[in-house]
Amino acid sequence: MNPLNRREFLKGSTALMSLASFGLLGMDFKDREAPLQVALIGTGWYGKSDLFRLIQVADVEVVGLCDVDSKQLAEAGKLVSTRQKSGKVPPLYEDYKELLSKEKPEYVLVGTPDHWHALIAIAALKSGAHVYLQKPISVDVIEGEAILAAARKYDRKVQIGTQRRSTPHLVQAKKEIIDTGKLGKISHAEVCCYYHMRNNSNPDVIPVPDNLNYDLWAGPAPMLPYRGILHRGWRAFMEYGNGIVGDMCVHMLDAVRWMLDLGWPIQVTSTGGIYVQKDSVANISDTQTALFEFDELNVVWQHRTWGNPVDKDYPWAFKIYGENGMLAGSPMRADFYPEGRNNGEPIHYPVVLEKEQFPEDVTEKDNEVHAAPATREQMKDWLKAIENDTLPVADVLEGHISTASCILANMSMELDGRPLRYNPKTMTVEGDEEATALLRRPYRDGYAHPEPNLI
Amino acid sequence: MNSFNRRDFLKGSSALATLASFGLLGMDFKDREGPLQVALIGAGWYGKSDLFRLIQVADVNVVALCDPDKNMLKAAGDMVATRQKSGAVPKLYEDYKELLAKEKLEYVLIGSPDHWHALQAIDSLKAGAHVYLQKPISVDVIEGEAIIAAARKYNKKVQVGTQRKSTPHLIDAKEQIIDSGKLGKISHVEICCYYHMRANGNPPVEPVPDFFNYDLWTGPAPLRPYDGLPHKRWWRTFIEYGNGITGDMCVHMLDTVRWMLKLGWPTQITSTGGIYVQKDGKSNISDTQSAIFEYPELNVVWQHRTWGNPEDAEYPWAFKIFGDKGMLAGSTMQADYTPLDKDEKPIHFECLFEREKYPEDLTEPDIELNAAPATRLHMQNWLKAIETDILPIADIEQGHISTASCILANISMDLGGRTLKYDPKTMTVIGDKEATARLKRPYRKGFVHPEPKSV
Repeated sequence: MNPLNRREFLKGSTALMSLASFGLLGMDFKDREAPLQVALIGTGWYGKSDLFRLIQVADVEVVGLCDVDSKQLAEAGKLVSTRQKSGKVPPLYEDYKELLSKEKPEYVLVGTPDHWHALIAIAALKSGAHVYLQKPISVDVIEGEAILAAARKYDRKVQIGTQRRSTPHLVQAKKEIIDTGKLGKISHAEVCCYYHMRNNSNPDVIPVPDNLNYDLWAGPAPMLPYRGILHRGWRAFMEYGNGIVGDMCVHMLDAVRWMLDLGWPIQVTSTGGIYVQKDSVANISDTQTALFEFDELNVVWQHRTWGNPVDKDYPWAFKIYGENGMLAGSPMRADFYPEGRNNGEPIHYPVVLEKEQFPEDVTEKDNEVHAAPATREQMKDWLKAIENDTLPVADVLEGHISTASCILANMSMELDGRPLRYNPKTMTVEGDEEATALLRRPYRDGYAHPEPNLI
Repeated sequence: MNSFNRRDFLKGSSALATLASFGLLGMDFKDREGPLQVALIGAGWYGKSDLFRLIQVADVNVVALCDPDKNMLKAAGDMVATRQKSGAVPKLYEDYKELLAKEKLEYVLIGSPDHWHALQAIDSLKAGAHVYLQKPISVDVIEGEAIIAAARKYNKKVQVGTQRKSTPHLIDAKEQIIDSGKLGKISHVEICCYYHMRANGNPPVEPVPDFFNYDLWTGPAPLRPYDGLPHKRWWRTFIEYGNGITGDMCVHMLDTVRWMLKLGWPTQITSTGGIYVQKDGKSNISDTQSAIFEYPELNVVWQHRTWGNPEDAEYPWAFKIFGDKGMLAGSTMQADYTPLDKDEKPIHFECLFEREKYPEDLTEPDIELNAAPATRLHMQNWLKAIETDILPIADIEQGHISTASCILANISMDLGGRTLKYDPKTMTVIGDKEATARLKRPYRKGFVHPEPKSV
């Protein structure tokens, strides 16, 4: 199948059919002259997971790995050698700048904690690489604007790891329920997360282990006393991310925006705090409500890291309400519920797993088996966008809007719940100097905050 | 049983035991020297319903009825004759002022539309009557302040028709689940209404019928071109005469939650919404709205939609109280405790009906069977408060807080979703002149807005 025909075929096919065709698609990428030259910066949980998904769908040579934890880095190197075709342990770097200048990768995956996303993504773009960047794309709004500016200036494709947009059962539900107009006029959405996922420990300050360059890990962010809460655990601290809203709301808000073709919210309001889990060292909210207002449609976010979920079938989910029915969706399932008796039957969409096609999914440590097909799709979409010079499905602008909206919710909460209207043209919060000042976090000495007009 | 012992007995007894004792209690009231001298102002749906509940639990002589609709008034008079002991048709008045001037009343029930509540309640209090006032108590905040001032000044008891506080299964649930501390720390509440209850018609303007004094019905509110009898449903679809679904339905659930959790005024209120779906009719109340009522470490989130699916089909108009050990859902029909611990058993509370005890309930037109036992209990609580000179359970101040909070939510929505902090001491919205100006609606020519300091 030549690429033109393949594209036409894809355009007309349903999500499940697309999925069935992936084997073929993957072959195309593998038919390139030489393998893709790929580097991974941040070799922890999701960084490795993203890389292994890419290896599953394209001919990849991992030309460099980077991490500030030499132990994690060495283990990642060994693991990669067992997974990539060449069987090689890639060159290992502590400093991403050195990796970028020495290896000149074509493709860079960024899987670091959020506070490093902006500087690393921008440097990778400047060095000429296309970037797969984990969500949320930034810790403050102007960082996101700077990444967007860099992607456009250096004309590279940035795919964000909001892979709900490539989740087979959600793609299918979008096509069959949303795009067909089955819901009628859609005028409300709920998004939520009720996972008990907040760190509730309160460990003592301890010496930094020899294998960790903690100063480099902290990078532009404040360097908190070291307590051994680091890999994956950094999400407990606002200094390195944006709490549950930045971690979980970003996915669901992004999914709703994708499904309904929504851009920036007109206004964002949020309230919440640490109401229940007060004994922990974590400083992120355990309870929060946010209103994202769009034209005749409010998206209401709620998270609680304690207590019962509102709907146990959908503890981390979106629910889209139309006059003729409701579509619920999560990484695990989707359901159409008709309104009344005249709008058809309920339709259930189970998650698509690919355990037989990719048996290594099941044995891979810490892999989210349910998300693996989605991430593979997201990777292929990225490569296809590069090949065809189009924007990928989770283009950096989309990731930026979803990320910045979540950051604005946290800013509203900080500012006692007042509504904020962000203007992306002026990059200010309208009529609110105090909020505008919060659009940029102060960087630590030795680091310069990226500016959209100077990248 | 003497009255002192009876009170002690009541204090210690469970809700069902209390209910079981009503027969006895009712007898006490019936043992009075003569029947209670009662008048009803507003002889429509809930006005009559309230009156018949009172007749069921006390020896009542309905002295007078008042309504600007002669047909409705006449029908109500005939109906009362069949229900009250004397068998007499009460005196019928078009104008409540004439009624109050001519009859010597001890008890007045007010079941008029919301825009008349304040003037009628204040005048009844001035005339020396105790008042049973339907919710919401007012259409603006200062009206509510004026009713409280009048109740206190003239030292009369005002019970507000927020009878969820007297609903047997909710009293049980409160005692067993909330008061026992079963939920642990309570830090979030959801309240909602998803009934398709908004009147969406578009009737033509027509002549006012002879039997209806439309000008008097309109009273202090703006006069809309007449397009049919406004009784029961039609007036509720216009903000001129009420506060929409928030004023009608949220007031009940917010009030119930405040009662259950002993909450006073919210620290601040934010709301957004509008007419997003049902645009074809004349109605000008929101069909979609979200509001956040903030308390210390606890946000109460209201949502209503008069279209589409409910969030939970079992609880379409309800509250859900979340603690770190479990959740209590409640409605007028049932309540459910869902523990977080999977080994602990859930507890279900059924609505109590009293069909055998009050068979006349079954044939009464438009009666809400589920609410009848609650309203009876609510009436008895009012009479007991008068007898013992204590505040009734739904004292006017409580009704005012719940009403004003809903009105403030609507003001916030009107002002683009900004956050409002009402200060009941100064009777202003702090730092917000525009919102403060909306605490008082303009009255129609010939009517004077009541002022708390000069009632």
